Amino acid sequence: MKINLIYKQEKYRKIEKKFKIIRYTIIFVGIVAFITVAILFFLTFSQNAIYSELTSQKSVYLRNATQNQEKEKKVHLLDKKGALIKEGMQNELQFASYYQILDPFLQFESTSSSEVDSLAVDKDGEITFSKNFYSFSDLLANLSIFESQSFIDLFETAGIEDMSLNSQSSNQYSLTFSGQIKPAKELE
Amino acid sequence: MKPKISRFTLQLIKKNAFFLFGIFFFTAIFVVFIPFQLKGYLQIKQEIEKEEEEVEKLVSNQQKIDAFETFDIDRLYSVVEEAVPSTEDGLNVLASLEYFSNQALRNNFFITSYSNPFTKSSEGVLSISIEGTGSVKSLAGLMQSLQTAGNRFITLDNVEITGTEANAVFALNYYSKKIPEMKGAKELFVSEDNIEAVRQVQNSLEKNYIPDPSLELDSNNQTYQTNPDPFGS
Repeated sequence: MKINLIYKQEKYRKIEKKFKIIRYTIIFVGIVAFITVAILFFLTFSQNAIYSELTSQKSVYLRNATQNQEKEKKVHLLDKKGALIKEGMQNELQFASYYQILDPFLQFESTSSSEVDSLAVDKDGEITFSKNFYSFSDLLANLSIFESQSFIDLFETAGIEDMSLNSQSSNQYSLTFSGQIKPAKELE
Repeated sequence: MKPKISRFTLQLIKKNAFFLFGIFFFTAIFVVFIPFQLKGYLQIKQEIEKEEEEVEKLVSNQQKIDAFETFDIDRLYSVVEEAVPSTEDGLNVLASLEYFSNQALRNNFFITSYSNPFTKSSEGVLSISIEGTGSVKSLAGLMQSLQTAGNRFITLDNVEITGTEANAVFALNYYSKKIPEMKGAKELFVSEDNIEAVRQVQNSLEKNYIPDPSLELDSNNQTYQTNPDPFGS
């Protein structure tokens, strides 16, 4: 190697220094590239292994699903029709429950003092009933029942709609009550 | 003409040729190979997520099916198909009303008339108005077993009673619904509450079952005439 040390030494050193930096940089970049490629290889390899395991798992479950197709259809139908039944049950008029709840107050079976003349109730809890009384004292006695807290607590809204007197009939006094009764489930 | 690259520089280039080649090599690795590898990695990751979701869905469906005994599914299915059929059948409703009348009689409530079951209906719901007489207590007793009279799921809309002998008018609803089948591999949704509602109907059916006397066979009274020579005179 021939080097002009007199004129070019300084310049040569500068350039050589630059090449040295390039060498180290390339070595460093090479290491980084090797590590990056190795990591990516490892990750891709492990992900491929996971993927192939999942694929085999899926094929097993798919085979089972094909075998269970009929059961699946039936369970799907059970759920959908069950939802319809549940909705129907929630919205229907619970007449038997209301009867149990109201009977102690209204006494549906006629007594010597009064009788239930009419009753109308719907699934929204709208209720109207009228009761006939044979004497004024019977009417007063029943009014105290209808004004009792335990009776009022059965209703969202309630009130006496009409009170009439019929002197020609044996059932002289008539009381009509209307309101909205609470859902049977709340009262049971 | 003076050369652009000096002799010394050229010598240094030759000396470091391997490293200079490295610049191009690693640039190619960083610009082409690593992005390509990264793209492949991200793709497989996405695929895994998709597969995991599907496997999860399949496992969930399997678990939901496994939660039922096979005989239980078949039994509940037959109950629900009878209680809420896919399509309304007029004869089935009439049979149910007949069954309902018998049940009313057992409760000392007498049904006097039905409205035409084929006139008033909305989608999936058939409404029937019924008139009858009996005490309020007997009507309440009948309503206790109303839900599954005649093996159908029935709900009560309203009741109007007049007079002490309870001339009653009430409205019943019969239900029918066609359930579209599950298309493709979808996740199966099963609500405990919905299945419980079906079980309630099943229990009610078992509790309120009235055997049809005409179908009852008393094995002790059955006699069979035998003819040793059926072709003889």
